[in-house]
Amino acid sequence: MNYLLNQQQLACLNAFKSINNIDRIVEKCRLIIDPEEDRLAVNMMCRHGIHKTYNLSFIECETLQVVFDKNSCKYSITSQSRVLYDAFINFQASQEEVTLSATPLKMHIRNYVDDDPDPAKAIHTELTLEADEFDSYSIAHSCEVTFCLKEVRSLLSFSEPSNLPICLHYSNPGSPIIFSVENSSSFEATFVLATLSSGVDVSQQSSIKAPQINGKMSNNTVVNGKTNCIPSSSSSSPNRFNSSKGNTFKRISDSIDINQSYSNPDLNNSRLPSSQENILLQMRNQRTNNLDQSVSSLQETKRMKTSLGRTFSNGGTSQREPGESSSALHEEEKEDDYIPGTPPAKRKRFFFKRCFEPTFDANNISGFSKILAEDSDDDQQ
Amino acid sequence: MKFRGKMIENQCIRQFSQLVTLIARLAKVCVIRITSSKIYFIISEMGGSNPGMWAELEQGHFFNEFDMEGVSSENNEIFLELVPDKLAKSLNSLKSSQSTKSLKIKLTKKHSPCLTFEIELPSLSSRSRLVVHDIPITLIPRRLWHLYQEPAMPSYEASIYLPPLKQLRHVVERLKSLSAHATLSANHKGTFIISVATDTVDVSTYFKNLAMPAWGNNTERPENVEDLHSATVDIKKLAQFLQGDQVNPSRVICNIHGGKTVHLFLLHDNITLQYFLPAINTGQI
Repeated sequence: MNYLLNQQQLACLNAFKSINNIDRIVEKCRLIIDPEEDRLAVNMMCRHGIHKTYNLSFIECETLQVVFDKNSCKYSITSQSRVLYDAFINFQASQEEVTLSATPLKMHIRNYVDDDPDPAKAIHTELTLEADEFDSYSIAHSCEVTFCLKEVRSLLSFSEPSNLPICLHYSNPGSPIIFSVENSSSFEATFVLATLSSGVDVSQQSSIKAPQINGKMSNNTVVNGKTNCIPSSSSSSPNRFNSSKGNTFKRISDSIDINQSYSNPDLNNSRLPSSQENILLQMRNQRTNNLDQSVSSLQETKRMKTSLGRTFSNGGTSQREPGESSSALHEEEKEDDYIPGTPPAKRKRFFFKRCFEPTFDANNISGFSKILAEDSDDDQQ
Repeated sequence: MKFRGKMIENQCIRQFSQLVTLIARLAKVCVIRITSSKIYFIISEMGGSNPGMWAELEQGHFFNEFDMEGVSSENNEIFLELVPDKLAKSLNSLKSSQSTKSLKIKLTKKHSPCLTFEIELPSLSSRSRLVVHDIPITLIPRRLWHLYQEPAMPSYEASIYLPPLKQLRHVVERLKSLSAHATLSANHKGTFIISVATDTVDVSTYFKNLAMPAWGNNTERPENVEDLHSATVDIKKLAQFLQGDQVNPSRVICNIHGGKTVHLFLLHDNITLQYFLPAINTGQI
């Protein structure tokens, strides 16, 4: 059974915020999953009889199963965390991508310089490590792969204090590179990162079969049907990477969330928006909640807009947006299997231009006066 | 034109990277002048409204191996310009716990002229790890060299040895939140004052009984010894400079030319750093 915590609130982090103090303060910690209430309760029993409970709501969902096979990778390296940690310290903190170039005798790590800002003006850094620095090194021929350094840094900050060895497995550029750490008795962590495929065309992205979203969503008319999973990546050049699985995962949850709060208010303790303005505000808040503007959330928003158009304007088409997005919707349904790359952020501004204008006034939209649900606490009485 | 230098002493490497970090805080662009005896870091004043900096490093102390060939035999110097911020970030790794075996600096031409820093780090295997950073630079043509000459020691009215920079730094950090300008004053009796004046409050910190450097021509000043000579400067720039106490100067001299400039002179065994803060005319005295 897979559960996904409500990403919007990053509540999970709140519970474990002061990790340094936890050792000294917390005596026991109990995690309880309550399937009925859709809640994860974190009970911390602290010293001096203090009892802290965090209730984190979650959403049941389908997870993407990442398809990879460590053992079928051509090249593999096992290294002490410290070696990699010290190696990556030589790269600037803002460095996004690095290229790992391994020959049978040495490993070179270079920072990846984008062509966009002038490559002649950028710093080039290269680090060389000897093969005998590693616990195991099986590189038959030279090969190089480029991947996102930020993700690796987070893995290293996790594994370095515990002094665990890290295994790298990779094949050709384009196939994922797999970092795995394990402490045989307690845990195993596997990071599957996308690698840059050489000379890939932006428009040709490999498609991922879109999963059905089940569970609580089934009675929601908006999300019934296929949700597209859009490859997205946290790096600055999203179009060139194949899906970075962790991020795609996140996108679905975010997109579900919008609809969740729209259709099932009780679940998230939010009132059913009684006016269009509230929904638009929610969408706007969604946007400012620090999401990468990936297509999936964009498309979900578009679909929502469409349904709004239908529900609130009595079928009237006074808005430009529903008309546009419903045609986009049909287009999407036809092309299930083909997932386009992330569109530029300019598109969202184009489609929802009116909403972002400072002079936007929800009152001007027809259907605004039709109230579907009264205010629960009416102050005027 | 070529340049190649190698540093082996850990302490020198660390000092060098600290100096670069300080410079990175002070300006966006820095000029490096390489001669056969010294290396200079120059931040140009650009018309007198921005602070300027002039740092000199004794090449002999820092480098174990040093080889340079200037533009021509008459002008045996190299002037180049780079962005110190990038350099500072790359050298960040030198400050971490790992000790550096050596630092080699070379003038190279990869896809564009670069200053290449090759850092040798200790490793688990028999051979060391090598990190190579190529920092892009622009070479400055000879006709512009006159812009980057050593600034003449400005005529000053008061000159004083400053108290430990750490103390000053704490004071200035606190005063920073009160106002954008600070007034530095000194007299010939050994008093140094930092003050900030706002609408609601005036705050002054007095440092008394400080030593005064004995410049040759200073002894004939007939003025009243207690007279204060002041200049008002941008407090942020002052604060940035004071963060350079990492360089651990042995002495810092402050020369004030009333209403015109504040000249800070950091003396260290092998580095001298001069910082010129132009005075701001706030209309108040």
